[in-house]
Amino acid sequence: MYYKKWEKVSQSDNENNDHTNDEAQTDTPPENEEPSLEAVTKIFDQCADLDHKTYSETEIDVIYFSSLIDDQKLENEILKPISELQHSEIENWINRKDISEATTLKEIKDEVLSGSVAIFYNDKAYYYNVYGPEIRGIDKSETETVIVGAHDAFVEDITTNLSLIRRRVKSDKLKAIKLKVGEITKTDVYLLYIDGVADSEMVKELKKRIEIIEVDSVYDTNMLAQLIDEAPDSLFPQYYNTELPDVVRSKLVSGKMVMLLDTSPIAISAPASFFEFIQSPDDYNQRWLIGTSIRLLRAIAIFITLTFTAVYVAVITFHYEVLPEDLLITLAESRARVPFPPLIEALLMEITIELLREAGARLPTKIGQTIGIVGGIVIGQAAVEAGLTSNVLIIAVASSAIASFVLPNYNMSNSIRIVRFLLIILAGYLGVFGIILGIGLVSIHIVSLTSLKTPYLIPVTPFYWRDWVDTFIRGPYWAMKRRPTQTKTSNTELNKMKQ
Amino acid sequence: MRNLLLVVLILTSFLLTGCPEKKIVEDLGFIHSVGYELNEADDAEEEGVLILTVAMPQITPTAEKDREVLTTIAHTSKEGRMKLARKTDRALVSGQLRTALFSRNLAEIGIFDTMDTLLRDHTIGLNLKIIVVNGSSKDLLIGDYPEHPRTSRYIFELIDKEAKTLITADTSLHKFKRAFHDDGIDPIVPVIKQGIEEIIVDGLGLFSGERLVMTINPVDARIFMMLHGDYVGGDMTKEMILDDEEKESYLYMTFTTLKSKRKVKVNSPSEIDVNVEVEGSISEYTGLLDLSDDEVQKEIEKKLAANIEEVSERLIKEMQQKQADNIGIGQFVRNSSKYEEWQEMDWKEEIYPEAKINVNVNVKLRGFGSVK
Repeated sequence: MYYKKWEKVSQSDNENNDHTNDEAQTDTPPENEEPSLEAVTKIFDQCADLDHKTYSETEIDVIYFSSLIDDQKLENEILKPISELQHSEIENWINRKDISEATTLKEIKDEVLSGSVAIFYNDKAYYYNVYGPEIRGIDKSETETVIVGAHDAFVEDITTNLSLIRRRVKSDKLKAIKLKVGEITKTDVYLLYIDGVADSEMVKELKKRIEIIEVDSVYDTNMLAQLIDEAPDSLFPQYYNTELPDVVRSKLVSGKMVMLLDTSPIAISAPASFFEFIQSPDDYNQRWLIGTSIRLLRAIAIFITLTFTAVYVAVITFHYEVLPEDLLITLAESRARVPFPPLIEALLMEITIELLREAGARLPTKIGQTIGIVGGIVIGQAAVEAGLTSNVLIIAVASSAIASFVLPNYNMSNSIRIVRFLLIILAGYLGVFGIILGIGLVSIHIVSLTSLKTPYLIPVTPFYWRDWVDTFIRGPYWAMKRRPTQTKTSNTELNKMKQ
Repeated sequence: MRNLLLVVLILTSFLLTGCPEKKIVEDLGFIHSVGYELNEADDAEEEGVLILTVAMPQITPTAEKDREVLTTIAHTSKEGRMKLARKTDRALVSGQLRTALFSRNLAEIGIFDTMDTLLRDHTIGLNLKIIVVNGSSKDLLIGDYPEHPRTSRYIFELIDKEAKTLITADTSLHKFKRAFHDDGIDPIVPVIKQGIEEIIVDGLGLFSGERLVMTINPVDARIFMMLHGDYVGGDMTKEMILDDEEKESYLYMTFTTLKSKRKVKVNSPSEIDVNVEVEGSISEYTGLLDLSDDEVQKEIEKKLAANIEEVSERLIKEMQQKQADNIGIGQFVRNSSKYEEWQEMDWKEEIYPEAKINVNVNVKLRGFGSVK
């Protein structure tokens, strides 16, 4: 709820606006001062990568950041003409080339910082955008893999990302609001939505929340999500994050809003429901029965991840009655060698698996594979043989680890994994009652969550029958007739926006 | 604030529940079979009237035997368990109890006192099998059956399988208790005995109330089950000499029941018809006649029906003498009479022993095998 705090701050700011302005602006030049060469060079004092070229013949000064611009473009479009032109031709050239004139110092400063070249001529300041930073090429996503479907994923450059989306939504209704976050970094944020589909109140609310953010810098869209969601202390992500432009397209047309942040290869969409996190683009590319089966499998996987080890601990510690006799004897035999109580035994193995996972994630891919082998064979096998764990526990821990990787969303998968530890500890103290208690508490928490003021667990609670066609199941396309209730859109009918 | 509430809620749930008793599997001796036997020794009054034997699977990997059998003499079941607990390093628990064996001598004087603890203990499931041992339950559990390791499991599977072919009944604690408390029906239980290095199913035990009053041998048990309800499956082998048979000796026929339906018609409380419709096929025949002949088939049907009727009447007569209504005829009488009438009627002691129970059996051959 950071935004609530900032809301108050920005309100009080507005009230005594004049006051703060006077105090703050003692050192730096006033923002609406006339843009002059001296002022600009003073602002960018000690910036080694700032290039300043003076053409004495034509009395032109050119200022730009060499690290931000496209050398080729600058050379061809600005530097070459300037050096070739005569004094008298400059005026014409500036007009013809559509080089904008800056009216304030702030304007020219911001433009230089976002990759424009500033041209000072005849006591006037002009700027021309030659932005061209080094960027990574479009590549496959590392965290969200699609088997059947588009493989291209977002990169760190926001214009490339926008082009990926524009290419998919060729509509004038796709609107993009440009905002800036980060008091120091001034990072670009684009808020995308489809006009007439997305709820305008929600767009307004989201825009307001982004505008009032007061932090030095926003590093990534996931951080942005945490700054604008309603429960930053919750375990669960309240906005859906994705690297795939395909997913963004589907979110946009269903009436949701998408946020892009420059330098981040991840887009977030809002509002989000819990069930979005078990969905993958693959579901939609398969035939609906197959898509549904896979989706149900993921729902089961959540339960396995959450409860398998916990149930093992509970049963071994308290409820020997529930096991079939054959299994019980095998279990008891393998447990007879283990010196720890079941809870410690389980936590030991779970932490080992988590260590392996974290080590595998941090290491380069090639070494990561070795870690997998070391973990899987050496620790699994040796721990049982050394009598540190029972082999049934290894199965439980491994299955729940595998099940946790089934979830398509990395953030959600991590959240679920943490909840699992809570359940294991409760199971160790209170048995199955503890597991139920834990699940109860987590359920209460999830039910109370909201995403952009809409219920997080929609359509299960509050119950909307017609939305079920795209939650646990991936219904046939003929049945998907309406946009999700959560988007609060007035344009509920799908397929009704022909132009 | 809400988070604080959550923490408080979790903490209170810990504090309020306290710590439940931990039962970690490797520390437990889960009793799988329990045997009860009447102590017939002279000092039974002082030492205890019950010989209690429990069998549990062994879980120490280095142990020589695959099971642990403990036995003691006590006054009651739970007292016996405390005595047994002193003999083992594992905590005795009954959550995995699957079979309760009652020796015949105990069953004959009544088992409900002993059964009390089985019903009272919430960890014992109602699927527990009640079995009567023709002989000593202690000897049966202690005995070694080299080809069948884990005796208790052997007994459990044996009864389970035999009940499917209807040689015997599969009486769970629930069924026993229900039949015991219900008006107009008495419980039946399977009977087993100890053979040489094996355990044998020895037919059915019929109770009157809580006492075992008669046993039925496995051959007749099949016919008893036909009277007991609607069943599917089961074989009967009879020596049968047909009229036109030329072969003179070794004439046997095995009849596989496909279906048997029982109908009880109450004419008056003292006159009851039991109609049994049996359908089946012949699976073994050592004679020479062509079974596809209609006449031969009719004759077989008739003879088989007569045989079943004869056995049934004999069984019913004995049951009437022992005042054991295990077929549940009383239920039909109760259902066909008014509440007051049934209340006034002393069915089991007065009317049932004198009642005229006619058994009509109708056998139908549905096949005689795939080879002529």
